Amino acid sequence: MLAAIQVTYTIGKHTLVDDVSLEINAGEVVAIIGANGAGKTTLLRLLSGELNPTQGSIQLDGQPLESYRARDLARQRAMMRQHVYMNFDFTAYEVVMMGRHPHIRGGETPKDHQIVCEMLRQTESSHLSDQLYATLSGGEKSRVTLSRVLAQQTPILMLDEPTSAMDLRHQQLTMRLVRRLADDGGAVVAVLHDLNLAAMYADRVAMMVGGRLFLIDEPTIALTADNIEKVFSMQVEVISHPSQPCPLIVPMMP
Amino acid sequence: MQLIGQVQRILRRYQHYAAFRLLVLVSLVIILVFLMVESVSTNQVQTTDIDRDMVIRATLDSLADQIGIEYDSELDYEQRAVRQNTSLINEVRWPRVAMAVLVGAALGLAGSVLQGVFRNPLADPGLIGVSSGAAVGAITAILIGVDLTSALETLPDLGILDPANLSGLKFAQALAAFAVGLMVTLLVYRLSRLGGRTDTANLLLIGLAVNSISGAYVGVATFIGDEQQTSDIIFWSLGSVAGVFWEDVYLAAPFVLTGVVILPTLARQLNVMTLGEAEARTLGINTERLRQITVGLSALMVGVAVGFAGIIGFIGLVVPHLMRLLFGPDHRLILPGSVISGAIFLVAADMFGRTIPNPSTAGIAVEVPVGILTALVGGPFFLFLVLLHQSRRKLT
Repeated sequence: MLAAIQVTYTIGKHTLVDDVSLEINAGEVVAIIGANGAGKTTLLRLLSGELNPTQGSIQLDGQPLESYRARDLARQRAMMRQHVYMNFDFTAYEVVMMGRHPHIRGGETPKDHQIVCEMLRQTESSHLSDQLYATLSGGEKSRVTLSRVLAQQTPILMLDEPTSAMDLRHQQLTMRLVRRLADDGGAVVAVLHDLNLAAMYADRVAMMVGGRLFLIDEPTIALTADNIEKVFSMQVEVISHPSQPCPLIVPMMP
Repeated sequence: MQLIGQVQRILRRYQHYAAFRLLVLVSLVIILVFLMVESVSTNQVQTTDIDRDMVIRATLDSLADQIGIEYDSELDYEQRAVRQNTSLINEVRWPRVAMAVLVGAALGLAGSVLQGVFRNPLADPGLIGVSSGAAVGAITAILIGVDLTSALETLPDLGILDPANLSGLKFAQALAAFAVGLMVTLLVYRLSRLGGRTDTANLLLIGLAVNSISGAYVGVATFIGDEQQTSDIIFWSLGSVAGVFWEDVYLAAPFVLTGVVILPTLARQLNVMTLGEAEARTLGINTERLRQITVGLSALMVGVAVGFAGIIGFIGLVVPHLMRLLFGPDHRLILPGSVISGAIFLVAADMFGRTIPNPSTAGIAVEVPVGILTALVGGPFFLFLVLLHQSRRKLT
C-alpha cells in the first residue's frame, strides 16, 4: 500500500534518515521504535509526504507521493502529530470537524456530524466536545486529535507517539482502536516509545538506529533482549506475557 | 440511539449558528448604512445646514437619476442653497464616506485574513511590510513630485471619470504606494522563506526590521523636503479620507472588491490553517498557495487603501480581534464581519474626526486626521486585548 524505497533525507551535513526501505500493507499495524533522535518522526513525515526525500521515493499504491494532489492525498492518509498548537478559540468538536475537511464540499452534511460524534465517542471524548481545544490537558488533546484523524476516514493512518500523553486506559483504548482499523483492512504505522504496546498490538516492529532501519520483523522476533540493547543501549529482560501471546519487556536496574 | 439524538442536537445548533451568522452580518450592514447616512449628514462647517432628511432625498434623487427612473424627492432645485447642498452631498461627502468604507473594509479584512494565515492574533497588515512599503512609495512620489496627469489622460473614457477631478500628483502617490507596498511585501515574504518554509516568528521580526527602516526613511524625507512637501508627508502619514472625489473611489474599488469577493471563500481553509501549517497540509490544503493568495490579495487591498488614504493604523489589528471576541473564531463569520466592521469603524472615526472641536481655533470645528483617531482608540483597546489574553494565559 505505502512503500519507502531506499529513502534518504539529509539536512546540511546531517543524515536524518539513511537508506530506509520498508512497506506497509493493508491490514497491518507497523510500529516504529528507536532511541530519541533515531529518525522515527522524520521517517513518518517522509511517509506522509510532509517532507520530500533527498534520495529515493515514497510510493502510495504504486504511484510516487508527489504525483498526488494535496486533497486526494488527504483522503488516503491521515497523520497524528505529537503536538498541535492552537491559538484560536475553536472547540474540540470544531477541531474534529476539521478532520472532515478533505471530504467537505460546500458545507458540513449530517453525515459529517455523525462521523465526528462517532469518533469522539470512540475515543471517549464526547464530554469534551464543547470545551475549547486550547484549554484541554495533554492527554485530552491527544484523544481529540486522534478523533480528528479518525474522522478523516483514510485507509492509511500515521501516528507519532499517539499514546505518550495518555493515561493507561486510553493508551490501551487507542491501540485497540488502531488495531481494529487494521483488522478492517486499513494500514497503520505508529511511532511508539512503549515497547510493550508495540509488542501487544503491532504486526511488525521497525527498529531504527541512527537514521537506519536496524531490522523490521514480527514482535516476537524483533523484540529480543539482544536487539533492544543494541537499539536503546539498555539492558532489559524479555519474558512472556502472562495472558497474551507476545513478549513482555521489563527494564533492568543497571 | 443516543448517538442519533446527539447528532440531531448538534445539527440544530449548527442551523442556529447559521441563522445567527446571517443575523449578525445583516445587523452590521444596517449599522453601516445608518452610519454612512449619519456621516454624510454631519456638518463640519457651521454655515451648512444639511440634515438627514435632505441627505436621503438628495441621494435617492441622484441615484434615481443615474439609473434613469422617476423619483420625486420634493427638493426645490430652483433654490440656490438646495442646489449647493445637494452637490455638496453627492460630490463631496458621499465619495469621502465611500472611500472610508473601502479603506476600512480593506484594512479589516486584510487584518483578519493575515492573523488567520499566520496563526498569529497579533499580526496586522503592517506585519507583512505592505504599509511601510506603501509609505516609502508615496513619500518618494511626494518628494520627487511625480505628476501622472498625462498618463491619466490616456485612460479609456468610460464616462465615469471626470479628468478635471483626477489629480496626477495624487494618483502618482497612490500608484507608488501600491507598487512599493507590493514590492516590500514580496521582499519580506522572500526573506522569511530563506530557510525553506515560511516561519511566522521570522516574518514578524523581518516585518519589524523593514518597518524600522521605512520609519527612518520617512523621518529623513520630512527633513529634506521643502515646506509644502513636509506638510504633505505629515498629512499623508496621519491618514485621511478628506478631499476624495468619485474618481478616486472608482480607481480604488476594483482592487478592494477583488479581495472582498475572493478572500471570504477561503474561510474554511483558514479555519483548518489555525491547526498549523503541517496539519493543514496533511488535511489537503495547498498551504503555500493559500498563503500566496491571502498575502497577495491583502497587499493589493492594503496597498490601494494606503495609497489613497495614507496610513491608518490599528483597524487591521483591532477589528478582527473585536469580531473574534464577540463571535468566536470561525472565519466564515469573522471575514465578512471584518469587512463590514472595518468600514463601520473608519466611517465612525472619520465622522468624529470632523466634529471634534479643535480648541486652538476657538470652537470652529477643524478636522482631526482619522489616522490619529483610530490610533487613539486602537492603542488602548489593543492594550486591553493583550491584558485580557494575559489573564486567560492564552497568548503563546
